[in-house]
Amino acid sequence: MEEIKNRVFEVIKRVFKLRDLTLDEDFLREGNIEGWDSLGHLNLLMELEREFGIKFSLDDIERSRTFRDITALIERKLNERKT
Amino acid sequence: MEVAVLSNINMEPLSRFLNGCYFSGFGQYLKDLKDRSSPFWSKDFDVIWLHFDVDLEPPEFISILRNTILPEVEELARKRTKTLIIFSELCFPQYHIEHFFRKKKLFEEIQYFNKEIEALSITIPNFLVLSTEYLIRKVGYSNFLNENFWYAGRIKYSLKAFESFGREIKRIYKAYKGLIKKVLIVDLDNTLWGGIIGEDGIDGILLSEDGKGKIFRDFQKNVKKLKDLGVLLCIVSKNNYSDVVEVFEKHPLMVLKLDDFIGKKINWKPKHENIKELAQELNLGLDSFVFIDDNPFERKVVREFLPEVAVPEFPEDITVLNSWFWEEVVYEYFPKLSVTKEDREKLEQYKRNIRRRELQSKLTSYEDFLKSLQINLNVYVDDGRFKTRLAQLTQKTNQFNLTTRRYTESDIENFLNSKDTIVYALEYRDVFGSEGIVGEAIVRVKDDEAVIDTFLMSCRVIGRNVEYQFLDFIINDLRKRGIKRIFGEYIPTKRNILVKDFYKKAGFTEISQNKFMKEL
Repeated sequence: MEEIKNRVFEVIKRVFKLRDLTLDEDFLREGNIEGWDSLGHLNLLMELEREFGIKFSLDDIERSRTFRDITALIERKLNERKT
Repeated sequence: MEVAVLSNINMEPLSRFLNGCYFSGFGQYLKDLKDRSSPFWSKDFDVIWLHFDVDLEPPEFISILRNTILPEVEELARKRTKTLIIFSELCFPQYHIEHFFRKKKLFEEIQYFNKEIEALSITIPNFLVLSTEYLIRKVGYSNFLNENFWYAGRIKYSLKAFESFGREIKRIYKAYKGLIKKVLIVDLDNTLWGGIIGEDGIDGILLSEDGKGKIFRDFQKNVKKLKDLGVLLCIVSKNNYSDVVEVFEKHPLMVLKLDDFIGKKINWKPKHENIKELAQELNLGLDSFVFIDDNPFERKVVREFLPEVAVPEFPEDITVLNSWFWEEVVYEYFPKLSVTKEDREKLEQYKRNIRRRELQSKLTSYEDFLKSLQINLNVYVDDGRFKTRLAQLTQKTNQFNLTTRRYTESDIENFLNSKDTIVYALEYRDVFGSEGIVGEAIVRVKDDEAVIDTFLMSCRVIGRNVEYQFLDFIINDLRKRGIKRIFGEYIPTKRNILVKDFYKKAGFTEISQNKFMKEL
């Protein structure tokens, strides 16, 4: 899980071009970060699909709008793939 | 590279793969095209890319494109001659109600439209077509689209699709600008054939009409196609020379012949040293070379010692050797819009140069050598037949080039058509044969003064005093036109130190640093 969190965090920094962001799980969510608006959200999730080689459903995209939701979702997807 | 994207769908994720993108707002592309006060018109772009997706539009969209948008685009191309206009060919929708119909009306319309833009790309020099079909086939339709993000926020294409669009646009731009390599260096063992000749012997190497050996036979056929495009081929291989000659001469399924290669370094020396020698022998910069080798060690050595040489990764699975070669080598390093006569004869021209050098080493004095060449020069003035070659020369010539100004074919066409600009093309021939157009000068004239904007010679003929005869011809021609003063200029680059004193030697006076003048 830690590894997933770090990778997601790196992608967030890259997508929103924020180098000095701190990994604050409660703070990282749509609306709190410059650029993370509804279009930014789509860009972020597209990058995460590429990063982890997974595919989100429409529901995934609409529901997962915080760092916690997203990392939990990715963990679930990666586990599903293993089993 | 600054790119403007005009589209009927959201293309913004492209900015992840292309820097400096401008996107017309949603539904704004027509306004951008028409409204000369929009920011789209006030900025200079290297490329304007128009991409339309017919899938989502009503049936009359194609006739709107043809009747309303295409004339605007033509106008755009003619107005903005410094900009390359790229138009994506229209794609058939994957799913369509007429799919099983004998007569597919929509398909016919799309085909007709694509034929029309293809015709434009032949008549308008700064207008080119992007093959969407090719990209979709490459990526695969289901990977090209993003149904989830489409319904979440109207992003129709996947990141993979945007990545391949970005790459394709860069390649088309490179082809347009002539930013391509000149030489392909290949390794032999496990590259031109399977196995190792020194160990497996001529009967043991893989090269056949079926099975794994066919991969290598096909590969050789593809390499030969590059040769026919005007790319020079070289071998750099650690082997015994006699083993290699045996394969080339005796193996019945070899496609390439030793004669197809202008340079052959078959020895046990480090490969980077061999490549350096090739660059000297061919009189080409290291950045003109692409090096292919299956051995990661050799690739690393060349990358480390000669960072200017392009060294693409080699496929780990040899099965994909040929598609890899097309995708990562041919399309990446050798994209071309057309082939000139000079391209087709390139190998022979370089061979003649080697024979000239042999003759030179036999003769005692350089003057005798020049005399024995029986050089014959021809100068063509404002001759449109050579416009492709003339653009190519400005793009590729680095050493004997006074100003290193790069021009596209449409720039050259403008010079040819302009009364204030004279374009001179120099043709060279000697006992060994014709070298085609090897020298070029672009001169701007105003009243009784002339400014030499461009003066260059192909490296193939440097050192035969041809440059002075060419300049003399130009001076005489300008005199006849009533010119009283000629100005020349030297713009130093890393590569053109050779011509630093050219104008001085030709009798011009230096009026300020690197600016020269001659009174007639």
